[in-house]
Amino acid sequence: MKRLKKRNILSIKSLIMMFFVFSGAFYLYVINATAIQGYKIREKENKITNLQKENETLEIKKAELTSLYRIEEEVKNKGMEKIEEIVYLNDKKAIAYRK
Amino acid sequence: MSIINKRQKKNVKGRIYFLAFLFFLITGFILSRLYFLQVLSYQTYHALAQNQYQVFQELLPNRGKIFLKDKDKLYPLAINREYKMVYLVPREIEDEDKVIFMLSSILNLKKETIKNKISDKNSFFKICKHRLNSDEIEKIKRAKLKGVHLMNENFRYYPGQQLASQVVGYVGNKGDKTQVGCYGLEAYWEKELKGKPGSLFQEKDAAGRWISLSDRKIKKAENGVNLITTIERTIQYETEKVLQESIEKYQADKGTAIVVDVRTGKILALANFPNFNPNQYNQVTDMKLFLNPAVSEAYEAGSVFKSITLAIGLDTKKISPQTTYIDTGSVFKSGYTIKNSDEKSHGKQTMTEVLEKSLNTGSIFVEKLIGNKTFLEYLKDFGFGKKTGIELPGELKGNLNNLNYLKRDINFYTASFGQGIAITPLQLIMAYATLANHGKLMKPQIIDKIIYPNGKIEIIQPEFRKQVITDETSRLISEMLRKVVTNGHGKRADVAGYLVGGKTGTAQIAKKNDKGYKEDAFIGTFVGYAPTNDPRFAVLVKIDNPKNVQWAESSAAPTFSKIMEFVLKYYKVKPSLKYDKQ
Repeated sequence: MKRLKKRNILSIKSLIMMFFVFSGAFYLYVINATAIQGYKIREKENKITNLQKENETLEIKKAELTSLYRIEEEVKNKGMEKIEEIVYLNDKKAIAYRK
Repeated sequence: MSIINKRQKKNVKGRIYFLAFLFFLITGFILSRLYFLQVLSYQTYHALAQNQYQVFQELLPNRGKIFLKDKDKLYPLAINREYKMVYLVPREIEDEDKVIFMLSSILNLKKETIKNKISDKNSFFKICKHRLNSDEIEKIKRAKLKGVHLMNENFRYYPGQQLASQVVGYVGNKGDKTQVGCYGLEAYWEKELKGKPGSLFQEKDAAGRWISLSDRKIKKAENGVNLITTIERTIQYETEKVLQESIEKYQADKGTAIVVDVRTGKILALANFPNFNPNQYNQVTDMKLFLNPAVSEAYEAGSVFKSITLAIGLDTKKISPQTTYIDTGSVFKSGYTIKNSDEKSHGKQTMTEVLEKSLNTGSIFVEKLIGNKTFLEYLKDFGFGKKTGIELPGELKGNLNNLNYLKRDINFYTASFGQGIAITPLQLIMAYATLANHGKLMKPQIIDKIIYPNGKIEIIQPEFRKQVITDETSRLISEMLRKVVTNGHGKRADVAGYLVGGKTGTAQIAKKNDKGYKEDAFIGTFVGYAPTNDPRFAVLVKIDNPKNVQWAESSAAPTFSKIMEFVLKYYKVKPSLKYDKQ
């Protein structure tokens, strides 16, 4: 009987010890996982911020390219001229042109 | 007994081995996990941990943007742009000579400047240069100099360059303050545009580092509001271009042009020349260039004022368009002789002809009939002598002080044709817009919408100020102004196919530090609106001191015509008249 009791006590102690060991391990795992998730969330947030910044950069580029003063300068640099008059050819009449 | 003991011992040993195995298993798991996180994933988590500084970005508000209208879209007039700046941490620098040499060649800075920054070992943070270009950034990154770091910073940027520069102003240094709005909308709306900074409460460890997993109380910054102006981008650009061409053609000192929607008071264009590029404001030497003459300069407008005088005469029923008087060519009062600008007498003239021929004697005739007190009251009703309330800084209220003494008739005579009193171009065009808008004076409006950081949109409604003259008076004066363009001095202001009405004014320029007027210096103005049968737009052009022409009909009137034609066609206003396209 005494031996049986002793054995039982030892098993209980082992169980309790295993419980604490596993709990500890589980706790470590959960903390770790939480921290990793936190960093992953931050990473996504950073990605969103970077994409927003990239979007803003493109908007600025678009505004620069469509700036009327800049276009005017480009027109001058390329030697383009303003069209004073547009003449539409009438396709119903005969048209002769030089090759 | 010994068999039992052996068995017990075996059991105990087994459990110990089992426990030890478990212990090593768990330890092994932990160690392998640590290896994964700290060795294999080192780069990732190092970068993430470094991003703790990003918290600062959540604390700094973004300055609100300013937009022009671009038909149904928006064009950014003032935005924030991220630049890189380079800074030194002097105590981190090991090879000073190398840093000095490399930075001076990359950044094009004097070696002495860099040396002084490095020598300050007590300082944590020494800025070397702002707004690096891509080439400089690349070279610094490649150089990998210890103690030299790059950091992002936001600066204000104006992608339209000099477009509406005096309307928008710029963001720069003002006194001991950095990055504040100076002039224009940037200054007027500084409080709303700059936003509110946030705050952070974060636990730190003994070494002063933030504890990532601890509580963090963060109050995010509140970004500034975005402003959408009433200015139409294409009209603004065309107005600026036409104005600049005219200033150069007539060799004038400067000029102003304003386009207004008469029904709402919305400013569609507000142009001045010369102007400046807000991205290079620090290169401007003449500070007056930052001012907006449309609101910040009052001048004696001259004969354009006759329309106001005659409108008052019509409204008080003292005259009709057909009322006649005898023009003797001059009026004598209080020791002064006032003559017509052409120094001629024209005999019997109607009120319409007073405007067509711009007769000073005619406007004096009308003012006498109106009476000084009533005349002054009407001027105030038209908005002269007080600020319009437009949301731009530096607005002047003009000067009607000469009319404070009701018994001094000579002052009222000269005021009837726009001399002796000072008004701003904005006051003048709003008065003409009143003539066009069935007698209703509207508040000039430059902001169309305000967009708050939370997404709420506030639409600024047009503000009706006062019914200054009757609808009938508005109709009569519009017909008379049309005659000025068809028969009078305003022929060059006409636009083929449209009913355009308006008035020229060639005014002398008062001396600044003395009495009297400058010799051979004039300001040419043309103000008008179209179509006169159903007015939509009013345009004002003011050309200061043109050298190769004298009269406004040769300088301001043709400039007005170009701008008005563009505006009418831009908004696809149907022509009122049939005309042959030459």
